[in-house]
Amino acid sequence: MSINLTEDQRMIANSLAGAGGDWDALTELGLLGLTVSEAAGGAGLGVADAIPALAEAARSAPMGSVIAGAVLPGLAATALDLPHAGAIAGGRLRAVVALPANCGDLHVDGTTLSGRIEVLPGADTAELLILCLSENCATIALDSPGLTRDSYALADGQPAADLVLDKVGFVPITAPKGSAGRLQDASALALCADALGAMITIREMTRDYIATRKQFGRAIGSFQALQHAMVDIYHGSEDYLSLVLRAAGGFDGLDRARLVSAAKRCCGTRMRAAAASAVQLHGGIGMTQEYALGALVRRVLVADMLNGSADDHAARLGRIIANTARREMQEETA
Amino acid sequence: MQIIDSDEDAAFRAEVRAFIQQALPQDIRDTFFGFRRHSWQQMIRWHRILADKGWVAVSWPREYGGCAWTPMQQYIFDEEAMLAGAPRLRPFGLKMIGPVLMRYGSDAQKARFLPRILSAEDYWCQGFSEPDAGSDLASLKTKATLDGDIWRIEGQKTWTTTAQHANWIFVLARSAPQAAKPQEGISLFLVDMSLPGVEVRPIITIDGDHHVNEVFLDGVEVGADMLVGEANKGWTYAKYLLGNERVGVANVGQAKAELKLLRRLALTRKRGNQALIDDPVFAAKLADLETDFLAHETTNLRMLSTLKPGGDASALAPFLKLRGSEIQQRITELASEAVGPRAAIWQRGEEGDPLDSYGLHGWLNARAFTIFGGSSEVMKNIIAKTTLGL
Ligand SMILES: Cc1cc2nc3c(=O)[nH]c(=O)nc-3n(C[C@H](O)[C@H](O)[C@H](O)COP(=O)(O)OP(=O)(O)OC[C@H]3O[C@@H](n4cnc5c(N)ncnc54)[C@H](O)[C@@H]3O)c2cc1C
Repeated sequence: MSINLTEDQRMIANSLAGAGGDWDALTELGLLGLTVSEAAGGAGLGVADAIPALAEAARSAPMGSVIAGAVLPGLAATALDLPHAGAIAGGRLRAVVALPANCGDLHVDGTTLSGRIEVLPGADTAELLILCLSENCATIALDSPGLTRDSYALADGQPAADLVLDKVGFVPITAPKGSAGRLQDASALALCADALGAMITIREMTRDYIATRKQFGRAIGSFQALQHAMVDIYHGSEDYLSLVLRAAGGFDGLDRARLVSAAKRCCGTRMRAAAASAVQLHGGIGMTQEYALGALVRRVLVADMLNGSADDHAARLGRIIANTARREMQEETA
Repeated sequence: MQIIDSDEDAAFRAEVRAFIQQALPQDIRDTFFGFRRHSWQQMIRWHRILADKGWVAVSWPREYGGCAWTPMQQYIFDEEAMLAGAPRLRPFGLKMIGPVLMRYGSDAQKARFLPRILSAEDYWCQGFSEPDAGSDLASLKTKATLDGDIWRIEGQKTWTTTAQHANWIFVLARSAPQAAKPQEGISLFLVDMSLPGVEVRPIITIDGDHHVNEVFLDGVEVGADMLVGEANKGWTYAKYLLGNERVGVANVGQAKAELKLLRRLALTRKRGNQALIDDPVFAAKLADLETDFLAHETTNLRMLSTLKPGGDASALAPFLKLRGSEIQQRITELASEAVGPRAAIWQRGEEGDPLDSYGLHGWLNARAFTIFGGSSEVMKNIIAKTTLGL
């Protein structure tokens, strides 16, 4: 099985993959405005449509591309009703979105903000920071006095940065109710889609490798231990695909938090294990920097680490399940 | 992928729910929600209630008295029934031999047997496995010899589930010992269990219960009209039957109902001074289980949505069987953990607290799920070969 895409989704996926991390290409193809409303000059795509396209694009995306992050600023600008949406969609303004997972000890002092924002993909070159905490949101110009950045690359090659804020001015924004949570979930799910695309390529490469690599005079894929490990990779990623598609499809419903957390949890548990197993099945070649597998594995790992770890999502799921149980109990006694 | 019923499916669900609401006897519900297992009699009672309504053979075509429901409707019905606390109907007649007879049986066999499966006048069991033929079923040794127009069957079957309740057994036997391949010399027979030479002996399983049996066939004589399809083509029929069996083991509806019961249990038990469901260690395990269930349910639905009514599910079945059995085992694991030390009590709480031993018997019983109907290892062999081409 594979990701079933509509015509439009496939076109978007191909463009995204082709553009990779290149800003001008992303702009030219209109991908930065994918989720920006049509009124503001975007394509007006919902999360449900964007996610499968992101996953498909990630299957062949080069090292260091910014697929997961590409749609987030547009989504944030639209959700928070920012005047910047049009500029973001048109590629005239580079924005990044910081979520609670990025923000350690931020504190407000009257009209300024101080503290650190960490591991923010795209923050190395961005011009606008959209800060989206649970209740309070703000925009901050990244060339503001008192703001310094420390840039680096992530394990999968994406550029990112830490921001250090020392009494930096900000523009407060009243976020529509629920929009911050929605953005966090959109970000987590976009990361899941990135890992999904990488995982599907990993499983295809691994299957082909063990079908052709010979030892002891036969294809190593004829050994049962490897066949069973390969089935686990395949079945696990197929289930993960189900979770990501389901979370995308249910994104606008009441069940969003549960569906997204399940997908993100699975990304960090089953998919991390599947990636490890894929390296094992390749033997020594799987350990080399030059071989394409490593870059894909690193995409899965980075997706797992950002915006809520597998354990964060297990904890959230646990709370949701407990609430469900209490509701069910009430319904029964009512 | 959106899991929202279409308008027709939503109307169907409402109709099904309303019927189950008024038709499912209270004592049967209470058994499930009271953490007890349904008895044989309760299962048969529910079977007859459904038969009266015409809802017992959900996948059969109308001409044979079935509902001809789409795979999605069958799924909805199963989910609603399980969530209401209904017993699961046994598959041997409805899902195994019934469909085989419809596809490969003679007109006389269809006319004689299908209505009696619907009404539960006949109850079937599955005579495939033998002491020396389990995963390698094609190596079976039970012999069938044609003498005039009488087949004489000689051999031993084992692990035969509910043979103690059944009056008919379908039997795979070797009819052409000289065939080039073992699969080519096998035939499928319908055997009346009251015939001379049929003997059933109980096997008690590790959960202390009597589910399975040995069935001895000592020169049992059946007419040529009890051969299904052609002689020596039995393997084809058996493969069709096993594909249907494995899809059934996905058991999504049942797992959903049991997870709901488990949540309720974890809400009412304590760890320290908080509800068990709020304990972070337990909650994390439950979160992983629910995540895997959600994935399994969705994979199942994705596969169902590609299936036409009566379509062949054999390529998908191994995936569903693998994960479905594993999930049900893990439910029993968390259930015994939720009960705590009293789960260690061996005596079943028929009279006293039904939670005594809840989980543990289930845990032991559930070990079988990854063994029967094709073990997990065999499922992986099949997927490696057919889906992955290894
Ligand atoms: C509770 C229960 C109910 C049952 N009900 C019925 C019934 O109603 N009718 C019926 O006909 N049968 C029934 N069975 C039998 C069931 O189908 C067999 O147990 C099953 O096919 C496995 O066969 P076996 O027990 O001989 O184990 P074996 O085939 O001997 O297997 C032993 C172990 O070896 C593994 N193994 C075997 N072959 C391979 C291989 N090629 N590669 C890797 N691993 C392998 C198996 O996975 C298993 O772990 C039932 C079994 C149980 C436990």
